[in-house]
This record gives sequence, structure tokens and C-alpha cells, in this order.
Amino acid sequence: MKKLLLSIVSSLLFTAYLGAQTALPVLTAESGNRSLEQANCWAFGSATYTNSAGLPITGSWSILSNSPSNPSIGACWVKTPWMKPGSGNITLKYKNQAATAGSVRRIILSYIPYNAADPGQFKEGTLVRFDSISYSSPFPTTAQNLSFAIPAAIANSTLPYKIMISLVGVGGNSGSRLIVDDISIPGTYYADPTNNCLPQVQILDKDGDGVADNQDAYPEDKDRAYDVQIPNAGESTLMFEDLWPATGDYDFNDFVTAYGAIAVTNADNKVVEVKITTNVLAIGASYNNAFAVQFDGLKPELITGVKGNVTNFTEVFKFNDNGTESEQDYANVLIFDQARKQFPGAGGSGINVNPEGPFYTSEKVSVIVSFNVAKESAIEVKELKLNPYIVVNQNRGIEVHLSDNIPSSLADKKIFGTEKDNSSFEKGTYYKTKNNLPFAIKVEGLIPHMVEKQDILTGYPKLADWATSEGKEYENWYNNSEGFRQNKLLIYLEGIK
Amino acid sequence: MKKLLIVSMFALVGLTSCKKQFNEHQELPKNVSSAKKFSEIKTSENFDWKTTNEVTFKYNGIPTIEPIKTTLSIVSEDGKVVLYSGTQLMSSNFETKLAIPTNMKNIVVKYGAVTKSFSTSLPIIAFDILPTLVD
Repeated sequence: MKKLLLSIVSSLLFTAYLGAQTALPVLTAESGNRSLEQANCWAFGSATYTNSAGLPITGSWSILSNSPSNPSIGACWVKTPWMKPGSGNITLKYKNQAATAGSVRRIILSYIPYNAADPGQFKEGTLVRFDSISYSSPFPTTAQNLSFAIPAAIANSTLPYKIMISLVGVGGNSGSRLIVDDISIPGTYYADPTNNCLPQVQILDKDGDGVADNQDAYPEDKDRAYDVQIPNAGESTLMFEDLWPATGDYDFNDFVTAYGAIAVTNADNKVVEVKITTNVLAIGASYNNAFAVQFDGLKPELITGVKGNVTNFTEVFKFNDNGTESEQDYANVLIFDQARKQFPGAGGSGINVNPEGPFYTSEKVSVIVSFNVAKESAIEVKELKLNPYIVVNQNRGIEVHLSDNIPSSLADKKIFGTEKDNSSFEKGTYYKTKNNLPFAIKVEGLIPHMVEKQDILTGYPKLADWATSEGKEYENWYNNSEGFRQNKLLIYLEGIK
Repeated sequence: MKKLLIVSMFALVGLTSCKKQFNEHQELPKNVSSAKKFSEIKTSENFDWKTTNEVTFKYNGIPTIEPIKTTLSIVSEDGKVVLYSGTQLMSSNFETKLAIPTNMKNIVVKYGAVTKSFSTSLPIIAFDILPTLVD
């Protein structure tokens, strides 16, 4: 009774999560690459594949033993993945490379039970030898069809086993090896190649979406499974000059915001939503800018809703029913319409740009952009290209983007190429001067911004070398390393290092 | 003694002037900017001003006995930044572009129990779960 109970419990523990119950395929070696079989949890001990002329038994490849000089069961072998043995016979083809070199050739069959308590990584229990066949010289050099009955002890078992086939001998050399082919073992495949080739186990998946709870960012939500940071940096610092198409004082603090975005995907890797978070750090100018994100290349119809954005302070922006901005070719999402409103209680033209203070904390804005996950409309993370920008001083036609990011449909095309701007719609270059200087900079991570009217090179002296070297030198020019920052010209808000 | 002191001072001033003159006319090492203001920076028109490097990531699928899928994830070395995470069929190929911060020198790729670390200095990172063969 105790044994029966143990058997039932064990079989429950090994419930296949894929439920495929696939028959273990015949090992033909025809892949020509043992590592492909190893990735599927077959194992080879000193046995290789060969396609040398005259050696393969069937097809182009066969399994070749080492020089058979050791009759030990562990000298040369092929081992199956964990499997549930069926009943009937194990069959294989055998021949020897040469008839006379050496005295003995032997094929030994064993089975190995699973042992969870085994301290080794393979969890193999004690090997049980159950059959063998021996040959004396002269050995067969033509194919022999061999057959071995699966022992009753493991036939039709609900527990996992491995079958090991040893190819050994005495008195051999490299020209007298054993060759086997077409190893067929009745039973079902039961290994998990993604888990060190251990037996398949029932995964915990509370929401039933097919993603194991320990890999699921939303284990109780079947519509969500993964979080992916886009772009791939976590939070970043966006710093804008807002006099475009003119250049300004290059303190890059006219509008500074912490910015981050996370794509939430489902078990089919389709984007369910994008969460955008912003936290304005400074406003070093008199303009009252808006902040928006364009999803380059994505039609507004792909979005089903926008939540959390702040759009009620102005009528400059018009919206579609799904919350995206209207009259745009690509989906544009307004994050907030007035940056100054993000600092309740702050006065004056400059906010957080005077080293003497006072310093203000802005309202954190978290926007959720929901996507259509219907099969014909669903997109993947790699299709997301977020293009953050400001709309300058409530003038909808004036936008400032990171260099070479495309303007939205509502940007006034007439302004491009005027004053210091050298944008070219033909070349696809935007928001750069003739000297290739940008109007906005994005840095991965949160960094301190400039004191008002201080050129950014005075705070970050290595920035010039980085740009001059096309990014090859001082690629971490913004880091807090010795000589990289002039701290008295930088504003360190709480939490920024 | 007084004369010697005066002569020495003149000589020192002369040497300092020469040194200053030399520094001002010395050619700057390549890739070191002389710009004191942002507006003086001279850079190639191809420079993109990004603090990320674009890396192509490729998962090379391999034939499997039955459909096997689990989570493929790409994370920073400290695990805090998830560059990619998604369900991946072991037998299917997958390719995506990653914008990796320049200060992220290595990334870690995980597929089930298989974990490999890669340098981000490579333009293409190819990952598979094939074991290394030992004959």
C-alpha cells in the first residue's frame, strides 16, 4: 500500500507540463552533430558520430565507439534522455570496424532510475544492468540487427528512467571500433532541456497563461506576463533646449525630466500596454512646454486607450476617442500639457535651476497606453520605437525632439531648416544644427542637470571629447567619475547621484 | 649674488613663456576637443548623440523532440534592468535589436537553466543552448 501511494505521488510530481507524450525518436545520428542530440538531453560518453567512408551502417552517419580497450560499462556509452519506458524490444544495428583487431566486443544495456536525493546535477539513481551481447574475434563487419527486451521492472512505468547502451571491448585500437545505428527504444520522451535535462515537472501557473509563476511578472493575470524596459536602460534623463529652431545657451535645462517606459507583454509576446513614467526635474526657461511621446511607425488605431495623462490645462491638443492625439499619422500620446503645472506651488520663471534653491518636487505622471492584442493588430516589443518630445510653449506646431527623431504630423514643416536648424526631410535628418549639434540630449540613468545659464560643457567637460570622437572616447562622460563633473555647476536633486 | 638672482628670474620667466607658447601651438591629440562651449564642438555628421549602443541579439533555435518553450530573458549583470523577456520556443529563431546603455559592459542571457554572459562590445550577440562537445 505504501509503495502504491509513493508511486502515485511520484507520478503526480512528474506530470509533463507540455503534455506532448512524444515517443522517443530513433537515434539515427543523421543530424551529424551530437550537440543537437545533447541539447535534447541525449548523452554520449566517449562515443562520437562518424560519416567516414565505409563506416555508417544506414544513411550518412552512425555512432562510433572509442578505441575499445576497456570492458568497463562506463568506458563508452550512449544514454537516453529521461523517458517513460514502454514495452517491447530495444533494437539497434551493430557492426565492427575491423574483424580481427582485439579479442572481445560487447554491447551492454542498463537502466538508470531517477533519484531526487542524488547530490549530483543529473539526479541519477543506481544503474541496473539488464542485458548484453558479446562477440569474440572475428567480429561482424556487416550490420547485425540486435534486439533486447525492456525489463519488466521498468516496462510501462509512470516513472522516468534513462537507458544506457555501453559499447566496449578489449584489445582494440582506433581501427577496430564498434559502430551502432538506429537505436530504437519504445517509450515517451520525458526530459526538460531547459532545466538541466531533468525530468519534466508540473509548473506552477496560477493564471494558466503558460508562463511559470516564477517567470511571470503578473502570475495572477492571464493577460500579462512580462515587463520589458524600452529602450533598454531603465530610467533616463531627457534634457531639452526649447528655442528651436534657434539655439540657446546650451545649458540643456529648459526642460529636464526623468523618463522611463516599460512594455508589458502577454504570454504570446504581444504588447498589452506601455507604461510611461515622467518626473519633471527642472524648468530653466520661461516657456510652458508640453511633453508627449510619439510611437514611430504605429497607427493610432492600434491603441485602445490612454490613462493617467494630464490634459486638462489647455485646449491646444485634440484627441481621438482612444486618447491619442488626433490628426496624427502615428500614435502620439500627450503625457502632460503644461510642465509648470507639474510643480504645484513653484513660482518664478526658473524651477530647480538655481543652486541656492528653493527646490521643488514635481508631480509624477504615470501613463498607461493600452494596445489592441487581437491577432491581426497585435505588435511585439521590437516594433516599439518611442520618440519623446516637447511642444514648445503651447505652440502646437513647434516641437523639439532628440536628434534625428522624426517630428509628428502636427509639427509645422515650414520651420524646419530655418535659423540654426539643419533638418532635412529628404535625408531624414532632424533637429540638428549644421555642425550636427542637437537640441535635446538623452542620458541613460538619472544625472544632475545644469545650473541656469551654465553651458553644459562646464558641468560635463568630457562631453566635448565624447562628441568629437564620435562616441569612442569618454562614452560615460556623464558618470560621476573623477574629472567628469564640475559639481558646483550641477543641481543634484534628491535621489540623483 | 643679487645679479645672479635677477638673471635667474629672467631666465625662469623666459622659459615659462616659451613653455606657454609651445602649449598653445601644440596640436591637440586626436579625438580631444578644444571646445570650451557646446557651440564650439565639431563632430561628424554621422554622430547620433546616443548614450546607447545598438546590438543585434539572435537566439538560434534548434530542433527539438517535442515543442519546448520557456522564458528567454536578457538582463543587466545586476539583474535590475530587463532588456528583453518573452516566451521562446526552443526550436524557433528569434532576433531583436537592443539599445544598450554604453555603461552596461555585459549582459546576461537566460533560457531556462541555461545562463550565459556576453560582452556588449559585440555588434551581434548570438545565443543558443547547444552544449560544448567534449570527445
